[in-house]
Amino acid sequence: MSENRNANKSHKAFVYINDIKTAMEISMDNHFGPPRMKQHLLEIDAQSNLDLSTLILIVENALFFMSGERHAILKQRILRIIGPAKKRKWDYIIEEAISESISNLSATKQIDLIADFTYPIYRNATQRLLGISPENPQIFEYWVPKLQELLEPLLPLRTLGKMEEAFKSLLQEVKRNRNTNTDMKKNEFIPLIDDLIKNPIKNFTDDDYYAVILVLYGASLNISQTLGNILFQLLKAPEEIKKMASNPKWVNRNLERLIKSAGSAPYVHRVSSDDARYGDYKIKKNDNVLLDLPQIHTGGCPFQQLDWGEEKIGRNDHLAFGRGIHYCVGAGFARHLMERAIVMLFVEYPDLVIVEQTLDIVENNPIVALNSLKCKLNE
Amino acid sequence: MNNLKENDIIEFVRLKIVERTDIDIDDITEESSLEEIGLGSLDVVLISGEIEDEFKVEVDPMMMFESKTLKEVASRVIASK
Repeated sequence: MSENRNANKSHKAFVYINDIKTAMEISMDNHFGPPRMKQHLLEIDAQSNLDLSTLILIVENALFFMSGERHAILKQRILRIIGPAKKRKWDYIIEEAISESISNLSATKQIDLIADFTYPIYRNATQRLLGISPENPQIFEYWVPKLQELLEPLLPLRTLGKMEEAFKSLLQEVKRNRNTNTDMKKNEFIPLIDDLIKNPIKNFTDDDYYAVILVLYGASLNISQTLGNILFQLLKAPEEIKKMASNPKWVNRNLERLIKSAGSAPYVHRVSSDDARYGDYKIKKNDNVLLDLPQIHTGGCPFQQLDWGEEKIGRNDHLAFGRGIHYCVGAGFARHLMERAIVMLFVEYPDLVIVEQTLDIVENNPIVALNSLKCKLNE
Repeated sequence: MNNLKENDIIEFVRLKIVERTDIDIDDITEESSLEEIGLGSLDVVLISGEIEDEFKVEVDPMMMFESKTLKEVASRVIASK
């Protein structure tokens, strides 16, 4: 039986940052870079009997592990297609995904907001955005969340071996089943994979593009998880707050407060390139530094009652999407999706109530998320 | 492997540490800590994998870092069996 690797977060391998001021400073300090995951995997590949070539391809094309010119060029190209400046090209994808999920809800009285609402919206919208159309959706959906585990430091060899096999088949699936749909005629939207392949980037191969797409799809699972956490917060809020969830202006004004308190990402991982001192934190060269987001944003418990006070919380007042050059490339898409999903859900079902008082929280994974959120559509 | 013994695990880890560092085996005792020995995360991941193969157990590299001594590593490996 294996131990819960997240149960004890206090040990010598990492420096945990628990206050927002220091975390912000570290995020903007170029003496802290992403973990050198490619090098780590290359060395394991060379010194063990594992072939980790697929995982190495994946981390080479995961923006959160990249730096330098390759990172900058790829980020720019992705933003050209899915960035907030292109919202008018992709916003209909979001509207359609939310409308479809809401109309499916009406078929039943008791629902699970995760399985029946947040997850299908994430899956349908993101697959169309990126250009993914899996042939074996169940197998695909089983493995994709494991992409989030790749972010965990110090993974055991047996886990890396399993992930290598899984991601090899996921990559094949993405390659075989590109979603070159008819959306181009409708709105001139070109899925990201099509754009990357039609307009190649110097020193990138087609395999790199498919890895980029897979990583983005796995990372976007945070949208479903964060939206689920936000809906929980709203459903547990005082009645006068809950009523406001159908008001687009109120949701827009409070979106950052909701994202800050409900973000599902557990930490931002950085490695120090120098000795440094930040307040009480003594950081040595090559230290692994984890910005503990739940602790920083909510004092450690993301599911406690939210403070609905007047304090204005802006986009730069939290780290749910990171900061600096590694700021989340999908933040604009995620924000718009969550904002629209909240409003459209509560407009349609203002009397939505939670039916189970026990929280069904994802365990054995540092992600802060709910497995299910059982509700009734009407009192 | 049944009837795991703490000493067998400690001896095995000592040998693996010697292979990965230039430390003399006599300077590595059951009271040594991985931090003092100066093992990096790559060493710990690889040694964890070798313990798994040798003793047919699951070893989380995080646990290795959390343990204060080699003796504690061994007792936690046995406890997780």
